Amino acid sequence: MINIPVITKRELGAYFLSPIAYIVLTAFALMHGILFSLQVGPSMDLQAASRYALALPIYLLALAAPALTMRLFSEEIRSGTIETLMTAPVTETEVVLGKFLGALIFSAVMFTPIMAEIVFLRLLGPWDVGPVLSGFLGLFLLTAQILAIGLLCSALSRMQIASAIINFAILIGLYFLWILGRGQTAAWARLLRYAAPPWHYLSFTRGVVDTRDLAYYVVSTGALLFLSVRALQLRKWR
Amino acid sequence: MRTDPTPRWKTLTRAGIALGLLLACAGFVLRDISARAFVERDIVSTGLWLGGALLIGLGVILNFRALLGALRSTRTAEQINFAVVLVLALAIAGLLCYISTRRFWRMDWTGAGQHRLHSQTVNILKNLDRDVLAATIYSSGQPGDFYIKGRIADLLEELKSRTPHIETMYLDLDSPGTQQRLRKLLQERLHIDNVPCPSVVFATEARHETVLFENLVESSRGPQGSLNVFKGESAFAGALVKLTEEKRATLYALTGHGEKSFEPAPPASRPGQARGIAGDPARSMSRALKALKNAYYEVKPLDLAAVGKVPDDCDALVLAGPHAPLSEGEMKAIRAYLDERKGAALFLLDSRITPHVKTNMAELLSAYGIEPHEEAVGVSLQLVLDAVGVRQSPQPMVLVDPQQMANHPATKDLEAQHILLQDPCPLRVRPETAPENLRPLALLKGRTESWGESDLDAARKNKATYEPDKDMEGPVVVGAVVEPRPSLSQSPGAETPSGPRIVALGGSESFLNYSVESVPGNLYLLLNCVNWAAGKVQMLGIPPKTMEINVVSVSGGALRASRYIFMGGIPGLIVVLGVVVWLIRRR
Repeated sequence: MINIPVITKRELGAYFLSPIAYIVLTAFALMHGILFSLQVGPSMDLQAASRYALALPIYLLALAAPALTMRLFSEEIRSGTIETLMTAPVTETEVVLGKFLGALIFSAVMFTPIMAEIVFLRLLGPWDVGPVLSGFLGLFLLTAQILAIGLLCSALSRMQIASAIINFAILIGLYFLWILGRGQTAAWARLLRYAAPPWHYLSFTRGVVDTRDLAYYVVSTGALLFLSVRALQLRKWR
Repeated sequence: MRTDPTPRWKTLTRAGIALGLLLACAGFVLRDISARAFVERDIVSTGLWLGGALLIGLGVILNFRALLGALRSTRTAEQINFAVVLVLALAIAGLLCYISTRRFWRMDWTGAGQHRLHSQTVNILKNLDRDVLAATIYSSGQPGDFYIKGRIADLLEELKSRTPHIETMYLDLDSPGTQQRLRKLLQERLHIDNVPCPSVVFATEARHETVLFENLVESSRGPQGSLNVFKGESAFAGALVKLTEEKRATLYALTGHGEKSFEPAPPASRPGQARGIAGDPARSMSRALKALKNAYYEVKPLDLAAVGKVPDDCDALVLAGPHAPLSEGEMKAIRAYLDERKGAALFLLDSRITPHVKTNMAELLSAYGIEPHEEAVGVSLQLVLDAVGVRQSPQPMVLVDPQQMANHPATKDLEAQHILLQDPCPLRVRPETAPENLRPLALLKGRTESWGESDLDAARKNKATYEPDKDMEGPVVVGAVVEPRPSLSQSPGAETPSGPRIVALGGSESFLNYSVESVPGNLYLLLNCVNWAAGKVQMLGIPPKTMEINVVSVSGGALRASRYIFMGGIPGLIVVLGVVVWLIRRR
């Protein structure tokens, strides 16, 4: 596992030197900023506004995550550098975890505008910080899961665009499950809701940290990363 | 050598395997949906399984050789390996997630404990020994209902996290197909024809309790102004207690001496006796009655002079501010109830600042170590606004000091409540006059600057001043309890010894509708005291929660700043950074 920080650093360097990263960062900050500013009015509920600021990334992540993860493996596979990487004294697990952590840290940078908005709301008046802290925990877990999905798509695809499209389609599908299951109480609806990442995130924004939601994110992220490792191993056999 | 192309029908049979799998899965899903929707679809499900199995079987038989060949290739082996790993990983992940849904707990990170259950609710849930269905019936078309439904769902999730005995169901009447499910629920589970909407129905196999949405939210005035409180937890805990308790506790409210009425209508009184103050809804205790009914009490009037004794089914006797003396027979009956039958009584004691008050409560209570001084009144300095400006004025009311509250079950979790007792009769606690087996205790006191004023005229005119030789020294005691004294050999935490339980609170005015509407803490105090006296310790102190609304006014400057920073400043900064990096790399 000693190679993980090296790979993470390499990935972060690649991110911050590529124009796509700045395009994603700018687009995220602009869209989040516009949607947040529309919510700020002459009279506002600070608690609700902080919850809103934290709920916005649910939708924006579906657009940003494919752009962030599409190149992680697809680019290496297409350019052939994957062979070099795989023959280096690093394990597939280290490669996957290193790239995953790089993407996760980059996402944390992407969320800086949200922190600025929270600070702005704090300056307007006192309110309960607990739900914001739990909201950030939830956001971290949600992002990790969405990035893990993107990582798997990238590991299975040779083309960046294909990887991004598949990733986007999967995320839209998962979000659609949430919409389908919302308000319904039948078993199938509960199952659909359970499978949808945003549904688990909302309780975090209300200040509730539920072990069911924690388990869902941790287990699903772990499973997706494991599958990414297996997908890389499968490629090695060929 | 050229091989013959695969016939089209044979290719289709391969697709048949996939179709068969799909049909079999559809059979399972349909059966589950049918079960939840209380609809019989077993024939269709079985048909789908059989059809699916037939298609799979036929496909496998017809393509046996091709399947065998495919299975032998390396590529297929790799794919099967990955597929097996995928299935196993998903199965393990699913299993872990399933386990996490069966055994889970929730952590509340809000500062005010918005999503935290009270210890009494947790106790009720721990002792819940039967399955309870909590069906929330609402209409999503009503915005108010939808908002409260969110709070209810959150609370029910919290209850579910503490016990496996609660199952939830949500019926949105605006959703298609709900009417059928509701009919099925009413017929098969609740055995009734109709249920009010919006409401939450808690049902066991034998009984059900309905909590209306309108009883869950209350607007009240507190120290910080008007705010909405959510009373879901106490209402749901009450409903669960009702479902599990065998019988309602019975309170008897003494009548015939000008006591406050629990009912809005005037109580019957015998000729020549003082009438109850009733008729005006604001001056009745009907809100207290409603709260007591919600806590599974039955309140019955008691004409002790006519009956001669306190009824056998009495769990607690309430004397809600008598204004006339009790007859010797009535006194004897109450003493017999308390001493011989180890009964419980709640005394709401008025001062003579209220005209025509002259009782013999002192005679009755002093035997238990509590001395009410109705010839005086509790006075404290209150901030008032008049023509002169804001000043301190001595008012005949006492704001209970939370720091001075006795550590007693009757005051459990009331520290955060605003309790203001009006025209309270000052009390003195004298342990030396109480029987050895009883322990009198000062329960509630005013702040240090409060006192017991003996000049009632001055108190009426808000001109009272403390005179050490005439008045009762502060902080004035406005609430006291008498309870059985635990023996020295009794281990800590052991069951409370049997004996009379008495609560005396100053000022029956404090519990009238108009009073508890503006000071809800008074009502929670009353409920706590009744619960303690009646021995319903599991119902003690479940205060409501304020709705988390923190509205502020945002200045024009702040509005503009937010737009400049978040729509221009931050995105612009990132663009600049990107350009700088691009320029550096270009060099």
